[in-house]
Amino acid sequence: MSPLGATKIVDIGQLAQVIEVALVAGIGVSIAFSLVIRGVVRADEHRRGRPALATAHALLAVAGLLVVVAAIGFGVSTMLSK
Amino acid sequence: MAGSDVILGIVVATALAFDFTNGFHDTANVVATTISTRALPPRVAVTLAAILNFVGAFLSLAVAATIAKDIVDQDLVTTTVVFAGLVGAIVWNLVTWYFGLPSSSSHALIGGVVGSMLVAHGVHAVHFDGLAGKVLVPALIAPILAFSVAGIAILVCYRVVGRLAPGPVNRGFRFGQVLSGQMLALAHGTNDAQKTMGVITLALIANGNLGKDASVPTWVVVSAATAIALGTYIGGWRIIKTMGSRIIKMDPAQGFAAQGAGAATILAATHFGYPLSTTHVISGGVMGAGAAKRLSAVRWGVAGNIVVAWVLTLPCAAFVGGLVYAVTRVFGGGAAGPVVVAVAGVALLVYVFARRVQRGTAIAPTAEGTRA
Repeated sequence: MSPLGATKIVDIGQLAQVIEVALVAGIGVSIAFSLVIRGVVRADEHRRGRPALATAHALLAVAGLLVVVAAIGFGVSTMLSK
Repeated sequence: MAGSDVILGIVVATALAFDFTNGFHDTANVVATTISTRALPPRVAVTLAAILNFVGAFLSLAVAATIAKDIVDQDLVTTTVVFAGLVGAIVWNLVTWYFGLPSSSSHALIGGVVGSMLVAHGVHAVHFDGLAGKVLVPALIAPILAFSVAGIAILVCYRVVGRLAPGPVNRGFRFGQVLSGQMLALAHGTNDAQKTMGVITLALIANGNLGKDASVPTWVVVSAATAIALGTYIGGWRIIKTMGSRIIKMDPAQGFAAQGAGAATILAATHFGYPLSTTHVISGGVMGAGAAKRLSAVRWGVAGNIVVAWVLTLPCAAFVGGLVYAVTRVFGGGAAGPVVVAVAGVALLVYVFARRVQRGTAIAPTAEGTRA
């Protein structure tokens, strides 16, 4: 099969978009959720001795959580709109 | 009752039977990691997945993706062709389930229909470029992409939570697995129940019961949703065992990376109208999450068997679909052929089930996933 034929069968542009978004979304959600866990655990550790640090970690957890919730919202809207 | 109505009734029943096998076969992939890391008890995991598959079936009723669209000549599809294709898909689903091998039910259905079309109308009825673009290339892309995404994701997860106490970290990732697992189950319901609805609607249109532009009848939506939910609730324990513990021994972070990366990959692909198989994505994700930690952590022999099953899905389902179509033609063009095949198939299933009951159940759910 010629390269042109292969390009006709596979939409290279669409495929590149899928790979790019899957990488960003998959790794992004994992980072965000890991930060939620890290933020919650660290905030709990520093709750008594270092309240400022605990607050910073809590904010990190909230930021991560917002990203995860946004990703879930994107997923549900994708399912509803297809 | 006219002969065509008899065939229609058989096609509807066979489509629902396929939907049932789709439920216990493919959703096993969705719940396997959740069960193996003990994020949820087995029965709770499959019950939640069953409910979300049921709900998912109602979320999107676009039947644009009817069976084998752009792969076979839609004008040549008859109810008997669909019946033979469904039987091919069911047989392959049952064979791969028996050996505990996760394979794509959608590819089995496409294979079955392609095989019956080849026997019914010859090679000109099959669009091979569509087959390559919509089935073969995605089948290659899906596991590699999920493998890469899950592999990078688990490395990042370990990096971020590396120095924390394992107790709360594992609890956190187990909770994440519950979320990502339910997203996957919902996505599966919106994808796969649709295919059965499409098959039944196509048969109703072909038989003249519905107009060409008719929407999906409510009874079709409810019956397809119920069949896939029931199949999910039964639980494909053999496949759950393979996915959950035979490929890698996974920790909750790996389970989350595989499922989270899988859900993100599937939904990103769906967003761009590039459907990927849930089975291929989750299998690739599980292997990627294991290999990134340590290459030898993956049982490559089991992984190889799974890949062989993927490669064989299309030709084997096509062979059975073609064979079934040929057998139905031996009895002429009426309803006799499908009736004989359907009765023989049910009799064989009853015989196999009776034998299993005599021997006792071999596979059952436990807290660790399954017991052989």
